[in-house]
Amino acid sequence: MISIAAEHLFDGHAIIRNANILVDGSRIISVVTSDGSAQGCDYAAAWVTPGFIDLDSGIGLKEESLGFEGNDLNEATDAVTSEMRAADGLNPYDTSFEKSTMGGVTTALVMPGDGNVIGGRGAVVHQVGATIDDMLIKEPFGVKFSLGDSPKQTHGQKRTPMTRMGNAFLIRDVLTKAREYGEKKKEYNMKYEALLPLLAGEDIAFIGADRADDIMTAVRLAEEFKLRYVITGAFEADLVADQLKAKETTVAFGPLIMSRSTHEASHLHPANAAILMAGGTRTAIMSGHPRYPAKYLRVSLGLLVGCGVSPQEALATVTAVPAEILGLNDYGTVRPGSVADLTLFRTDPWEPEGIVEHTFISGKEVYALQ
Amino acid sequence: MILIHGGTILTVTDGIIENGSVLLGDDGKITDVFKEQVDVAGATEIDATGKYVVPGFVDAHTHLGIVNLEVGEIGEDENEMTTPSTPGCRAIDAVYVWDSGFKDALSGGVTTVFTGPGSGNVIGGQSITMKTAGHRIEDMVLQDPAGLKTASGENPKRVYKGKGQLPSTRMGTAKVLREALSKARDYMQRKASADPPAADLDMEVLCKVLNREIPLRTHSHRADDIMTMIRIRNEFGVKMVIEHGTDSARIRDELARAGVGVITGPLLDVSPKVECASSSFETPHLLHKAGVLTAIMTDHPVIPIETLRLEAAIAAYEGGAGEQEALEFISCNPARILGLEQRIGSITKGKDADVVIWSGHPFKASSIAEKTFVNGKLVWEAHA
Repeated sequence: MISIAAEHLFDGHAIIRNANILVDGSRIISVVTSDGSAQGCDYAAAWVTPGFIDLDSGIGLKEESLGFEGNDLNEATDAVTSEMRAADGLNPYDTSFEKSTMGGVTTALVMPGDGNVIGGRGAVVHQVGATIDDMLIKEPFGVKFSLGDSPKQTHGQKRTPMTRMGNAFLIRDVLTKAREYGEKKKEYNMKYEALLPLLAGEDIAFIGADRADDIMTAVRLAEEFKLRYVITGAFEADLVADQLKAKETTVAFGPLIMSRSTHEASHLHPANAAILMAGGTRTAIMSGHPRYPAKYLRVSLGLLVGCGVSPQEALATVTAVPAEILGLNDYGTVRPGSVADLTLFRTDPWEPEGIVEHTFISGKEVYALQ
Repeated sequence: MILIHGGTILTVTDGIIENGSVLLGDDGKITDVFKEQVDVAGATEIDATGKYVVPGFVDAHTHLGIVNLEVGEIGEDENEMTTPSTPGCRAIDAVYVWDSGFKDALSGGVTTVFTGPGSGNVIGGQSITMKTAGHRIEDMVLQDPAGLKTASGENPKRVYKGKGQLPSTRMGTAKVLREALSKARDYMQRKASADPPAADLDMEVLCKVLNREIPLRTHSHRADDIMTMIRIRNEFGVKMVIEHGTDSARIRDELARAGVGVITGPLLDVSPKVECASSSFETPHLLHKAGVLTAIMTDHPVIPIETLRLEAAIAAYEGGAGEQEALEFISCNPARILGLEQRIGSITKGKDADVVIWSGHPFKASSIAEKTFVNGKLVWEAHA
């Protein structure tokens, strides 16, 4: 059993002053308010939050400090590779995993990159493990789609897509064929098989779209095929905030910190996410690792707070909201029964000064500040 | 005249003043700094109570304006990669002052930058230092040339190996630099002779390097690459600043002895290459402790210029530097490396009136730069 005294506990929804958390094995068994005394507790911290959950990350698939040797994001030999699985390319020994736990990240949805219109299926993983099997929470889970310039640039000189029309065509084409395949089941087809859970509403499409028109193309395609979906990236989502709200679209926005080097990123600003949230769209924040380091996801939240988002709302974007998106009911919260993924901070987690002192995954301490 | 009064003044070089005043003169200089709140007849008053008054930050290694935001490849003018040595190329001819990155700089409290060529070539060309506010580059430039960009390690050899040209190895890179400096030495001697050589723009700027008028600004990550550059520096007796210095902590004592400044970073990214594997927010503090003049860069647009303060903040709390030292990494230290310490880098009487009013401490991510002054003029204001 581990007992943790928190001056501030963010439980996934609200900030509670003075709480004691009791962990037994891999689960939290009790959360009670206290008189502020940490006496008798194994750990005491200014802040405790659920471990952060980073959506649509390339961590482990694009390894740090390596070139092509460590880059397994995009099987760019074809523009539609739904049969690929991130778990088969992910290296548990990418140093970014350890670093991410030093920033309080405990879980990621690792997804293929955005080079293909359909990149493959993702894996929900804990950030620590000697093998992928130690890390897996859910796999395969999520289908990665990508709209906009990246598939055009990756493939346009050799094959479709060369245009945004080509992007949408390929997606429509393969989903139509997969649907027919699902109904008639003739010769085995791995590409189509991988899409059947999605078409049956058992899986979720994570559709990378930055520009507002690409976002609306994503919505249109998802509605045509009655897909459950999340828009990722979403730099211009604020421009269509009303439509997204009306359609109850979910957004994974990010990264919040990245140069606006390309035309697609030209509108990127942390305030866009704040506008989306204020409008009532369910919004998670992601690091987009390796575009921005997962380790400092917490610091990027400070910019949201600077845009007027409350600390509890900002913290929810990397805890309860992504857990809900992933359908992980016992993650992203600190309450009896939750998996004991916890992060202890020196002060406000969204500020540079709020460095991580301890990180727990499934009740085990995986990082302690020296 | 503008009188900023109240608030917490982080002078950087003269301590922290609570509830003081800073007077910005019409001449663009800081007229005076007061330890208390004062009245100055005729001055426009700005109440900074509860806020932080901070010198404009200095980013001593960027590609601001020479790599344009928002337009992709079309806006990339930092590497003339048609031949590995292009000292005659000048940043002033490529920096686009309307690029939105300049507004970003002001929104992040960065008022002076060193900007210039990239690291695709062994000798990339001439960089400039400039203020980040203005519409004519001639009005914004502080130093032209401010230094000659050179590069070692993975980048030049990757570029030219791809073209089947020299340099395709670290040996080739060192050869290109050594050869250029040797030829320039010869050119300089012949220029003084009765039979002077034909004018050569490449040689002319290399002569400035040999005459120690400007430093070589040397992109080096790995410790051995840094030492190669210092070896060449010693051979030719030139001035040098080490850029990136990702692996410099392990040779910090040598660097201190050599007396070269190091501009570390970018730090707030995922190490993209083998030679960047030891990237750490602890590096600037380790260098400083060893006696190396140290700064932090964004390498904009590698990471956005407005995040310079966040890099310093993480170096302060996680990298062991503490707040004062980390502030120095992005203000007076880069000013010294640039040789502009008399003009910028602190809130000091007589220095340029580059002052920023922050809503809170600039090391808090949630703080925003509410008002940025350059040369005493309000050039950025955050929307409420």
